[in-house]
Amino acid sequence: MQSNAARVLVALGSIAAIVVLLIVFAGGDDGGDGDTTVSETAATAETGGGSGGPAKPEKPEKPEFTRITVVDGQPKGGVSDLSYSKGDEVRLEVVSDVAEEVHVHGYDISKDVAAGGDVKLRFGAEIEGVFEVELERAAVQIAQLTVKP
Amino acid sequence: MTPRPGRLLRVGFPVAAAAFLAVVATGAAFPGYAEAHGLIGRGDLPLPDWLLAWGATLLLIGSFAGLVLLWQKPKLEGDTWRPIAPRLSAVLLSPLTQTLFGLLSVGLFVLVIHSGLNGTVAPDRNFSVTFVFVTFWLGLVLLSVLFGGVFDALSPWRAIGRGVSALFSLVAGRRAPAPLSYPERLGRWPAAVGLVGFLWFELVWGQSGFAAAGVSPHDVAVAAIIYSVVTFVGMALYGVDRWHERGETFSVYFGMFATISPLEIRDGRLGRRRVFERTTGWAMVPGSLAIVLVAIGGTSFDGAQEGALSGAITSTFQSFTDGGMSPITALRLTNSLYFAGSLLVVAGIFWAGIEGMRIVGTKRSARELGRLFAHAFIPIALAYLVAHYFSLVAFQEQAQFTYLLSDPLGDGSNVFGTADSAIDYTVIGATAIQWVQFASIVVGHATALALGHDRALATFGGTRAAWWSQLWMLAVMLIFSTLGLYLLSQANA
Repeated sequence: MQSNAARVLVALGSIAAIVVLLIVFAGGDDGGDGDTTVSETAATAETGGGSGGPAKPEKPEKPEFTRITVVDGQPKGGVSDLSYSKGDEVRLEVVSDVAEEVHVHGYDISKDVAAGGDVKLRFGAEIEGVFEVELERAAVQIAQLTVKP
Repeated sequence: MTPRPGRLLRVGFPVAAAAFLAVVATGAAFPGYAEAHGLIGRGDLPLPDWLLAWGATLLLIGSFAGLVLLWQKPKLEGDTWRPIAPRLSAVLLSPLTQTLFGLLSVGLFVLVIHSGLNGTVAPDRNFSVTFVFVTFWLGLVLLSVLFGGVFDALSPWRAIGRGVSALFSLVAGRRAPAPLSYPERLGRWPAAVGLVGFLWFELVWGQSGFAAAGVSPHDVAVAAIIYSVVTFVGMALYGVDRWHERGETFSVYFGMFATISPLEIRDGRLGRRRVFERTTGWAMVPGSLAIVLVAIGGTSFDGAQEGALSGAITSTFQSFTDGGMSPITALRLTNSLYFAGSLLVVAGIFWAGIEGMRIVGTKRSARELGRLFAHAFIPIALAYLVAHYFSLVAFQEQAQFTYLLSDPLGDGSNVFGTADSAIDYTVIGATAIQWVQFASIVVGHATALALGHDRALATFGGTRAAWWSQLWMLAVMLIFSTLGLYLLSQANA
């Protein structure tokens, strides 16, 4: 029912559309990966902890913990992106100036942190997906935990 | 000669597409995160880029190949319904069984109100929130697709309405007074308004993030009561069954998906038909197009707010709070704007497609074309739902039938001994979820294409107009399907 011209048009149109789509999507989604963000978070959090919290001597920790500093009940530097592969060990330290409960959704891990204190969470990244890490009482998200297969 | 809308319409389509891409691009530039209704324990990983690229390519090539290769005569219109399983049918449709279903639904409805008003404020530990937003809202879509009009038997409002009118006849010794005749022009519009209201309540009012709490069980109960009052007024005015099939949002919404099912009850008998057979005629009633588009727009907004639009939402939210607005007001205002925007963008894309059909020489009004082709988008609406909520249902239903049933109020009771169980988030891997999402969009798109193709043949015959008009509908479908994949690739990214 269609003329040859129409078929050619369709073919050209679809090729053009594919090219456009590939360009749009190939260029659109770089830098979303978590690994770089984790190190950035760690770096900013480190300086934040040094200036903002009670002056603690900076002692090197083994193994490295990603530190999130909570100032006035809010995460300093915004919601951190934490990215792991399945089977990794998640090491997270939360330094808080308010008494709170740190809750990792999905894994359902909860630990209390005292005002001016810190708490360390260590667990295996066994569930794939995207999870909120939250200050439970205030319902404030402090980190987004991504576990890739 | 009818006046034609100006030349501007010719550019409507590219403009709508460009505006949409611009909105998406702005959103992708900022980080941010938010979630609806405070239930999501495990979010989905974003669809990987390679799957997105392959998906989009597959949709494009498949679509155009389909257009050339698909059948040349309408195939899907018609009626193949025939009764099956007379004994099962008699049992299922007996007054006793129907009454039992009615009692069950009313019991669950009462439990929702009771747990919402008197239970814990934690949304994930209160029966009402998971029941309304997952088991009822999403679960009944699934049941309707599989088994047809199950909600006719499971609607608590219909059950109560029928109960009340039966009681009236019993007490007064005569039938209830005849209701007003329902204005046909109104069609499914009351249901469409209710659908916008429900989605707004779920996705805007119940939105958490930025230190604002999500939907509270108390709000769920109050909303259910308000909606019930409206429904009972509608039923009192226009009759229980008339309001149930036209004005009652959930019945209309689930009914839309029930048209897909191979099962249908007709004249009091259970029967079988070809799948999608009733879908083709569904959208001829006024307001139906709105239901389809709102369904697509609502899911798009939910997907976008946790990914593609989250950055834009964050910055709008911040400019409102900088202006002195309280966080919760700012969040709700921001989300209302983006929710309305999503609905408008989806409607705009569809409208541009319809106008496109008109400029290729279709001598029909936009309204008529909209009604003729709206049903073809029902599979896309379903695909969106499956893609966005499949994992939520898989996880949350574990809670629904264990600890939420044993301890609906979250007060420590343990009715069925399952109060101590927890959701097993490892039941399905992230990769499997991604494949389900991908497959649902591809299958939904292919089905939509087939429905649209068939309708074009039935409407225009094998003419050039049929072919060109299909191209426009195909473009709209492609935009929606690719948008669906794109939103998935941006979700929680």
